[in-house]
Amino acid sequence: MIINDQGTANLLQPLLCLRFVIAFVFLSHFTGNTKESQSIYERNEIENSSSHLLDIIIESELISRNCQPAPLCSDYVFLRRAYLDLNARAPSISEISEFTQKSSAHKRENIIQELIRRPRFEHYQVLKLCDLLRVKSEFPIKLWPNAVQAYERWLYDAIHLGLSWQEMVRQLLTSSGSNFRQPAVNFYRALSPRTPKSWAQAVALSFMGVRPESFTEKQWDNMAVFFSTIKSKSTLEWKEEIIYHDRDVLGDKSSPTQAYFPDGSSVMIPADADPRVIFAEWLTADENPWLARAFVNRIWTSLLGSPIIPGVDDLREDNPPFSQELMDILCQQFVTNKTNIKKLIHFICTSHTYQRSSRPAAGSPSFPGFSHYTVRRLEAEVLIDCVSQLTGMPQGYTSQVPEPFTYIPANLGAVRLNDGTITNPFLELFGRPPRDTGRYDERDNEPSKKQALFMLNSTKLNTALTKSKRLKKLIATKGKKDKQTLNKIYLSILSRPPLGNEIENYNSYRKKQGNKYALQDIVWALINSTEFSYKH
Amino acid sequence: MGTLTRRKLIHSTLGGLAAASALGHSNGILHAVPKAPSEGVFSTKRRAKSVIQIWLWGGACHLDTFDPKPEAGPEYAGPFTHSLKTNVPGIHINPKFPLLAKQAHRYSLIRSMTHGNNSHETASYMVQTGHPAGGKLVHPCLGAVLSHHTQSQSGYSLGLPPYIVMTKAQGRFSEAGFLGNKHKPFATGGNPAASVFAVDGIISPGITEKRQKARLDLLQKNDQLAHFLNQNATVGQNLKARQEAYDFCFGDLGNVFNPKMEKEATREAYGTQTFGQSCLVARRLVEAGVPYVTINFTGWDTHKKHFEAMNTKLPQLDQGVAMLLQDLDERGLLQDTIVWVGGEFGRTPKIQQLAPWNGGRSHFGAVFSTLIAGGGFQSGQIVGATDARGMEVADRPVSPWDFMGSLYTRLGIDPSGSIPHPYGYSVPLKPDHKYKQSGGFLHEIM
Repeated sequence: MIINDQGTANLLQPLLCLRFVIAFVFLSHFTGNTKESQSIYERNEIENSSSHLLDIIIESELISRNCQPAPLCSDYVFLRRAYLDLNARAPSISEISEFTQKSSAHKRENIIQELIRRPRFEHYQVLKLCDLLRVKSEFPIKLWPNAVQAYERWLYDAIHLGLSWQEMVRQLLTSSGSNFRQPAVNFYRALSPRTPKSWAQAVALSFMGVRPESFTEKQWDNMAVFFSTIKSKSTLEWKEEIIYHDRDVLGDKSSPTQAYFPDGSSVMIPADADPRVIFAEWLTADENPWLARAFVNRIWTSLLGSPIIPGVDDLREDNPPFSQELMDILCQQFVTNKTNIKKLIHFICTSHTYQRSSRPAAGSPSFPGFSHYTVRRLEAEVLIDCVSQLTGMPQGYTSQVPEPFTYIPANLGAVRLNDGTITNPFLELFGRPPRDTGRYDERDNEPSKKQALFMLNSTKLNTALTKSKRLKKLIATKGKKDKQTLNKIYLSILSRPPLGNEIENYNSYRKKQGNKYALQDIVWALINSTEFSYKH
Repeated sequence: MGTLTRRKLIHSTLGGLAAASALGHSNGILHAVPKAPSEGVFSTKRRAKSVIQIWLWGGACHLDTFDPKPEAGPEYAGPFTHSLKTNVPGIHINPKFPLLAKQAHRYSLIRSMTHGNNSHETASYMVQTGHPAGGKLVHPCLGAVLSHHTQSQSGYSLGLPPYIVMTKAQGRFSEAGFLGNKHKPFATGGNPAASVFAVDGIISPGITEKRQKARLDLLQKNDQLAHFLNQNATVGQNLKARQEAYDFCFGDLGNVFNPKMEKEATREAYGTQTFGQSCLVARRLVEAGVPYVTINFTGWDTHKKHFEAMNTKLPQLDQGVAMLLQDLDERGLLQDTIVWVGGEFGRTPKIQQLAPWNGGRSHFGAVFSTLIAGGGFQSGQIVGATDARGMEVADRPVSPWDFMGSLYTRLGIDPSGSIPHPYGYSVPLKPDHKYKQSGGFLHEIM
């Protein structure tokens, strides 16, 4: 049975195949420029067979389902994809020409390595962690701005120093101290209400990929015991909070407490022990099946666009993975490399699977199974940063909640906005998550009429496009041939040069509308095109 | 914007509303009547179809508006040494409200709103959702719930968004709460009193319609990836959204936002500043069938220069609301439209004379006033009372849920019912929490 986009079985596969074959013939008759498009989006050389472990598994999966993998994507597509996925921005014109002109056989692998080394990679990972850990200063999370800053700094340092995921989780689970000075304790503060059961559910969702409805009441009651000794107290410093383990909760018992892990196995908690430490040992052990799978599934989904276990953070027995082998090999790699996050991402991005074109191979069904890259919209923060980068307009963020106000430096960009409370109408419109639950699907990347309305016609964007000095410089034709300018525009906005038919369309538009508007309008058209706002 | 042709009408309204409803047009508005509500979403007790919420952003002082206390002396009443009689015996309001004084037969006053919270964010959330802050869920406000209900029944095919805010969204709390992005309000942006009300996304000053259409054509031709991936479902969704937005831009629905479609005399009667013109546009929107319109009237958080601000704002409020009530009633819309004027809390009855306030008023959640009209609520009444200086509730407290539950009832939504959470479970409308001061729903005026 084939698993489609929504993770449900599709029994109509043979019929669908036929439908797409017919559609493909129909399509090529009308686009006429398929060959040209193909050359700009796909690589035209014969693909060497890959020895990458991921590719071997996926290839055999595809064979067993009568699916052909899509061809590899072109250098232009690959570079933009890698930059957006790893550095949350589009490549510059010089970066594009440098990459496309190289002839080394390992250039793709090398650029992946390079991008992972950059600070922007780390900041982007922190953004994703902040989504997961509900980093938000206001209601209903109520971390408070100073604690948000400290917490985000801690997360950044952890990624930057290469702390393993196991170690990060261990610290987040077992830290005690001030929300300002031991920032990892904010894990326990980032939810409401604060009870042992809701802590257990937060731990399960964030680190085990398990939703509240997936465990029984008994399992939750058992798991809550490990979080039953957490207390908090305030100090004289405004909004400072100390999170600590209160040994009196279990300590007044004369015998150790028996507790049960989610997998049913039991452990005795000595009277003077911090049960969080015992739970953390269990969770971060190499053999623990939840930790690695949950994290791998999340990372995989963010890179490939579609999860191996459907739902992303919905691990349960009756929700099987697309391929057990694939999940196993990824977890194995992850654990063998001491749950190093950068190495996991490098492992995934250097496969052929990551490099596939977003158009399925001729005659193949169009649902994934990772035969082709999944097209999806850019996240709100990345999109607004791309628009800002083009127009040169800085996005100044402030929060007037609470007083004293928070000011974010003008050129920091939205990817660096660590506080879920600080937002603006654009970010909300394009689905920045409110960070109330920490679920993966809290971020909404679905298109909507309101979003399209904004991109097509909003006063703000129109003003940015007409008044931007940077854009004016980009489209200035003084002393340059028009063809050069158009080339520069396409490279800046879509990270590739224009095709023949696109140049023709533009030229006939220019004849009708005149030079002044034509360049502004092609910039507008490209920013509104699917290619700009969708990862492909 | 030219005459409405039948073709344009059908083109611009999704689902062919034109064919289904009674159509007349005056001043360029489609008198669209939504289809009958389906069972189970709206109850047969439904009296009101729309709400105009005039939100006094920052909190307006009850003493300076609807609960005057001249006898408390200048320390409390400031320059307002007397109150103004209205055309309903027994109802007195601030002397800066001469026009509203003639409209008292159209509204009622609630003088005992109370929740005790003095924080803008928390109080705004409480008053607009009925729920106390705290707890796991972020509850949606009335506008978002109405947006959800009207869109989930098959009858709502009006091209206009069901929940519209003029002109900026709240910012103090999340209107849609857990209902998500889909039920966030459409904020118009722009200024209805400007020479062109540049409603975001519909009207773009500086770009002609001809050029808009030409460049849209260029976009469609040059959307190379969309052609390359024309079998892709995600790409298809994006193109569909773009098409819907395009239809919205170029249809005639945009006319409803244009106050210049009204006679000049009407526009002047409302007041030619932002607030007055917002009231006029709100009437047009409700007339066209929009269920929920919020006017965010900013600038009431007067810690300093309080009475100077009141000199400007009170006459604007007076003129806009009085004209709105009269206009709605004369058009037969008032019985179906709830009009609600109030903010998140009141302001301190005792004026803060010392520096740095120098004659200002601070936040006051202990007690405050709200005006309510239309939608099947009785008019010419006063609900509740405060003590001699307006410091606390003297009679009949009204909690945020007392208020919100009454609105739900009038709108035909069962306040003891529930709404669906996107993650698949039901959330009761009624809060768990019991407010310290509460007198039950507004049965006195229902």
